[in-house]
Amino acid sequence: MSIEIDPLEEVDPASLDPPYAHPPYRSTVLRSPRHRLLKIPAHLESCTGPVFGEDVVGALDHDLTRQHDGAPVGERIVVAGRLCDGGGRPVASQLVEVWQANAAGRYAHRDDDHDAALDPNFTGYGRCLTGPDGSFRFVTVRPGAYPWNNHPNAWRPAHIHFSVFGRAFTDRLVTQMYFPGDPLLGFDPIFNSVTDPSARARLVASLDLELGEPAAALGFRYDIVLDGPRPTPSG
Amino acid sequence: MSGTDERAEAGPGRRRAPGPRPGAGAAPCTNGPTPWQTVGPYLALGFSPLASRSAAPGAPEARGTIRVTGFVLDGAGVGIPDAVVESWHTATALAAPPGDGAYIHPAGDGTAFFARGLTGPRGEYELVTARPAHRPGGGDEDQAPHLEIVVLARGLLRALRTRVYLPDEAEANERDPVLRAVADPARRATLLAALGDGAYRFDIRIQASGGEPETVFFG
Repeated sequence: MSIEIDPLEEVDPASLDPPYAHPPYRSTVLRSPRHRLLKIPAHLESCTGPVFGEDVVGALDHDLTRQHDGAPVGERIVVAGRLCDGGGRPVASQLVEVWQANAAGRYAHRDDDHDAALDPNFTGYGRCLTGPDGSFRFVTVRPGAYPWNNHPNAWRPAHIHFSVFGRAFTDRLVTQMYFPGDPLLGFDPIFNSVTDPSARARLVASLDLELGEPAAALGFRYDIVLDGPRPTPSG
Repeated sequence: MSGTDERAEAGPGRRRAPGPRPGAGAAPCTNGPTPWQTVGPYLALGFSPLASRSAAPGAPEARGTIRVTGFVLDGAGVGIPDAVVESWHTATALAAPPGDGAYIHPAGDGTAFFARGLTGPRGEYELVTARPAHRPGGGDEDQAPHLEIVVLARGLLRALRTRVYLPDEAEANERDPVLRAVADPARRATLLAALGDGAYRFDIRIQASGGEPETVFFG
């Protein structure tokens, strides 16, 4: 190599995000890098992200209660919020995917051997595109808590997985939404892998009766804020 | 807030308006950033619908497409069966539609491509996507063709990001400003795919194992 070049800097591990290695969550031990992440200079980053068209999303994909012939068992809820960048600006037309357990705490997944009922009327997958104001809205049932084998008598608090894209591929975020007042939250090593209390609180939805549907569904608000803003795409 | 017409539609057994409706739009986002959480073991439920479907074995691939295969390995060198690998890059628009059964997702103006591959029981994954293009940056900033990669798995509390560079682009790789700036040559080599049997081979080692170094990850 003819030209000397400064090596990439290491990323400061201090972050509001969880660390990779968090031994109370046992699976992280062999699945966390030992080296620090290297920082790609901003001008060499890809400035654009995936743009998904309407063709990706079906008319009822946001309604997890209407994907089968019958209604699923459970407490029907609306989960709505906005996708924003770090400056509070809405992120429009981006794909939001969710997946979750059914009301009994069982996933429609072949590897879930929890001895709880499967619901033939509930798959637990939904998606939508955010609106011009960054808004998204799902209709679903409240998922159940379920046991896992991380430690004796371990139970995951009820949660919904969220996967979102931002304006840049580096904005990609996958997280979990929890429910307010869940007494299991204090015992959960995944929730508590986020050490900053105010950051952790942002993983918890808030009850919002205005977002629900009277006599039909309780409403919960869950806003998702990306760790941007990133530079404006310049082509 | 929903209007009264929409509310009137709500309720069991009634059809609702298609698509998401603005329900939470009025309030500004004043929160700080939302933290990461793991995808958990049942990620396939959420990620299968947009995952690549590879072409049938032996089927000819469309011109301009590439196949990247490999394993996602943990610190014991064991394949991770509950991971997903996603790629994102720019490419010249495909000359022909993708081959029979191949799923390629062109995003935006048709020159940007997203692909997603779930790992199988031995940690193996496959991405079928368009061949990436050079990214001119001017002078020393020209970037060799590469895929931006995101890895997610049970046990990963946040994503890992890396890049796949192609072995048949040696000259461009020599000049690439990111590759050149990885100081350790052994670790730099983890960003280069190998030429395999009709596919590029790219293994992702979350920790060093089997005498091989940890893959370079970017933050």
